Amino acid sequence: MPLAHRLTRPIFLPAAGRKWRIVFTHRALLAIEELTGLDAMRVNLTHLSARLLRAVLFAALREAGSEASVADAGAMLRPGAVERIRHALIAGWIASFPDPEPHASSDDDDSPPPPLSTIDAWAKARYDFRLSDEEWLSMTPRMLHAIALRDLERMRQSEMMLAVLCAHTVNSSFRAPRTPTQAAAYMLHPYPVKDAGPVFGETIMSVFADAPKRRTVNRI
Amino acid sequence: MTSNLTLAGRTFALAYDFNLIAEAEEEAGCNLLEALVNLNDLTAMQLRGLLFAAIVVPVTDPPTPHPSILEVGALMDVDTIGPITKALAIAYNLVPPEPAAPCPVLVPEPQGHPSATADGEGLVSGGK
Repeated sequence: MPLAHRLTRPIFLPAAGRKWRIVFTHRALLAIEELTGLDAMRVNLTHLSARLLRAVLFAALREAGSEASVADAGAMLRPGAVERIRHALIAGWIASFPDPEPHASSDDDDSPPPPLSTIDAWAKARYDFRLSDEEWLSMTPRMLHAIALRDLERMRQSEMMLAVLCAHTVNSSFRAPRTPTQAAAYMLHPYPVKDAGPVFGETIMSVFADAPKRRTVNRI
Repeated sequence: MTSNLTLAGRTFALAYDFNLIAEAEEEAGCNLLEALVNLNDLTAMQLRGLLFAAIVVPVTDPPTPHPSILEVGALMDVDTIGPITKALAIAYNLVPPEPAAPCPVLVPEPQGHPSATADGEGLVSGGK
């Protein structure tokens, strides 16, 4: 079984008397692009057209090992089966793509970046991660995203070491800032700030629990 | 299996073919899948596109040309919208159901390895 199938949540589509495992690798996405002319990494499956649905089904079946043609895929889309197949394909699509990024905080005006185009994903895989074409083709976008996250963590660790040194140098120098600078200020890819969350009574008590207790002295 | 529809004195045979619907989208200039899943809420372009894709031209000698999308549109008017929609629905219902196929199996993500499922199904290839 290909690694992409092992690392992707299993979604099965019963069709033509068999159960096909739905996984969208970059190879399948390129097949969709070839048939539709659309950038498969950016298509919106919630607004599928008939032409796109047929192409997505064909690519999914081909990826699962079927030798069905585009016309065969279209013939499978009978009136009673269209919705069922569409739902299975969407589930497989979601399983193959990375989870959506959480939205930027309200004070941060940056909107989330658009998803990578196919050519950008290929360039990233080749240049940043030194993957071969075949390795990239057999991976899902979710797998590539996992590598990207790991690479980001490696960059952050490297940046953090230099940033700590930088912050220490600034804070201990002549005319050091009154408020000490933080290491994160010197990082190109700072760690995301965790949401403080709501403050409850237990939160306050846990903070003061570590404070040294003061003895009451009777002054008589 | 076709249903018959008479428009402007001409009788057309209608049949469901998803491949023709997919090919007709470009000429119709609209999303015909949305129309297909909800025949009760069609725009004029969608109805014209579905009718265009559904018309079956009989094999004759010399060959009968398939009417263009504009010719199909010219056959339609306010009074024929109902009969056209009804004839399309009948044609779609004439398609035999797929041979016994169970519902799609959407396996929930397990706690451990992503490909492992309770019945071990995730460890079996879905390919041929």
